[in-house]
Amino acid sequence: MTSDMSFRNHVRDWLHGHVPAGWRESMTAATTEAFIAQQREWMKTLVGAGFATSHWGREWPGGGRPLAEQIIIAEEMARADAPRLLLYFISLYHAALTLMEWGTEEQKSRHLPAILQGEIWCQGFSEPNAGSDLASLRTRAERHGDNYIVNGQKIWSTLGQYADYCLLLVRTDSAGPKQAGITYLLMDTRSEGVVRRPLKQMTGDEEFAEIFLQDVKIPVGNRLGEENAGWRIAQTTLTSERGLTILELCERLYCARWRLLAAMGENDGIVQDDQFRREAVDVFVRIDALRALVGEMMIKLMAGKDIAGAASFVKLLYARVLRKFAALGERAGGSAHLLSGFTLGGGYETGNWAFDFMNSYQWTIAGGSNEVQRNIVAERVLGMPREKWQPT
Amino acid sequence: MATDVTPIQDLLDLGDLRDSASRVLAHARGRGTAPRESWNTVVELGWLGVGLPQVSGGLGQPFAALATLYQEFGRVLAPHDFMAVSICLGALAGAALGSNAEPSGPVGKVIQQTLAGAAKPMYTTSSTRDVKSAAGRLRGRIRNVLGAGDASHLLLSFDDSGPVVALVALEHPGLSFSLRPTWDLTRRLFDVVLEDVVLQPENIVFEGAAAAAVLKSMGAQIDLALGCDAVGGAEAIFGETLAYMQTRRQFGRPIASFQALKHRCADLATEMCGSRALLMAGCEALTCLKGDYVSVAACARLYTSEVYRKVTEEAVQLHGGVGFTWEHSCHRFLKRARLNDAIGGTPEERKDALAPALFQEASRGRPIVSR
Repeated sequence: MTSDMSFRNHVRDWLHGHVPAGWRESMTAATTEAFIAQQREWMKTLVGAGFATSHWGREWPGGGRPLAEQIIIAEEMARADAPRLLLYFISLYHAALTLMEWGTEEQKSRHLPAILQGEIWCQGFSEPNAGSDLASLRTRAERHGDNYIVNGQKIWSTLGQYADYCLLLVRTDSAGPKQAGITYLLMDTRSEGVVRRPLKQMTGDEEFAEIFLQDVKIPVGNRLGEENAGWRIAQTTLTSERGLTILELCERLYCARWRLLAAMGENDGIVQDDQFRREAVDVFVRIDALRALVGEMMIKLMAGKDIAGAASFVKLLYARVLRKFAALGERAGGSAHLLSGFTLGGGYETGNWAFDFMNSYQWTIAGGSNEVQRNIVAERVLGMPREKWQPT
Repeated sequence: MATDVTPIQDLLDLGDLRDSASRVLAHARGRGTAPRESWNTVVELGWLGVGLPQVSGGLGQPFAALATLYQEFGRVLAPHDFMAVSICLGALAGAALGSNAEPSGPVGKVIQQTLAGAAKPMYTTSSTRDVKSAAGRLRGRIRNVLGAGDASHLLLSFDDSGPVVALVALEHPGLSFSLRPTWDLTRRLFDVVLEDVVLQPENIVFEGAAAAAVLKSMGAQIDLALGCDAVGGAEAIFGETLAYMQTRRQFGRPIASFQALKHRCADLATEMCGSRALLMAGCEALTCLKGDYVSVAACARLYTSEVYRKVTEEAVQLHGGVGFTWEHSCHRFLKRARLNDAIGGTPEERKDALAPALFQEASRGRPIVSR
């Protein structure tokens, strides 16, 4: 897509020398401690080389890179099969970009350098009763002098059990429209009254946490923007990664197509079974289409155009093809049902097919479920009328 | 095509081309057969020369311009003529060979006549199974050729110790054709029969490597043209369906407001968007002769055809009873989409043919040393 070959070669050479050899083996059936250690080490390496912060402003080390170069970095990470930087994803994108846009000088100078030093952030948005309908969140914050006192519960915080800070949405007003009573706070997760519990997924992995908040004191100085103005700020957080993640994931899926052929028992480009061969073609054709669409979306992004509709199309297509890919691998790879250790931070196409299949639900549920994405497409792209639910 | 590079200031604006094609073709909508006057319009507007190299009297535009026209023809369910003649002209001009010589002799004459509206050469596709060459005579039957009976000349391909591409007039001795009526009323299928057809030297257009190169490019162009037809047709009937759903009211509200139906439309729109992006990537690959453009074109045809079928099936259902009637255009799109996917073999055959190249490329991503 982008043909700045000298920069691409620079990134490629660097990755060739720095992607930890054998990381997939050592992260398979690994302990949590080993995973955390690997992530910290990889973060340090990437920050040192300036490849973790290419989307930050130019005043930051590694920052100020044009989008075309950010795209190259994402593509080359996938191509080199580098470990994903899961533990710092929220820190580097959601927290950093939200702070850059809405933070006070004090908030920025306290947190942004700390993130470069490895401060871990999580997102405290979803609640047990506020998923797709996020604005209905009920975690309450009451002002007492210079503090908010917060009570409630958050859920689905990615790696929240390891976080130092939390991007927290709370309700400060219940009178008006639900969006208008939300305030955005920055919470130290070691505050008194914060209890975090890892949430065990169907795969056995613990990538998410529940966060229980009981009379947690958060200084007013840790508020982002004005009181009750949090909904708008949250939109910055939710759109902060601007398609670069899905670009990288699509490239990873593209580079991992060989795994599907390997599952079919062939690696010379021939699949004996007619059914599997044709279904694999179907999947590969869709991966190509997805990459073409992501390419179009990146061109739009570079031209400064709105990508809201395109992002929903891409997410729906990615979720669907990922599920097909994993399901086909699971059917073709005869021993997929035998329990085996999964790879931490290894992405969504690890070749542990049963795990990959289950894990693919993250893309049909998280980050705006397929159903929410379909509503967005139908209403905002196709102009179909909103469906108002009438309480009876 | 890549060597006949058009200076950038001479590139047609694709938006303008689309708009003018859309205006011109509006009256042809859904009629299916090409009346004489609409072919005259195609000739007068110079559309046949759009993709043709300038030395052959064309405009030398990149494939994207032709793709725009193919989509507009697909949108109005135009017959096969434009696509068949345009692809045949490109092959005759040897655009795929990067030849910068003006075609001369009988081939050059047919190209000139075609651009002037006095000839209508069309391509056929045949396998070595269909046509046999023995002792200077061709025998065989090419089944389900789109448009052939409406042509003035046919482009034949066969194997005679190497690939050969030949051009014969429809009245060539030994050549006959018969109409095969189809459910799809917007196109005409013919069987072309060759009984001891003797070719003269002037009938032979390309042989050996040149013939192979021309056939390779032609195959990709047919795939992409059918892909454009699918995308144009799918967008047209999908647009009609959305408009109908906004006006049709049941239970006191437009049926477009029901979430169950909205989600189905969103799914269709998503796949249309993805398959269109793949088609555009295929058009670009062909224009730049980038990578394995033949495979990308084949992928694009597979996906766009499948989506066209899906969209037309859903269009009938989403229209309800009216979508099942003869008067409504739903069935025309439905039938066309199904014929599109059956042209030149089954989708399964096409997947089997595509698999080796696709899988070989996919296997390359495998790390040599596992890590």
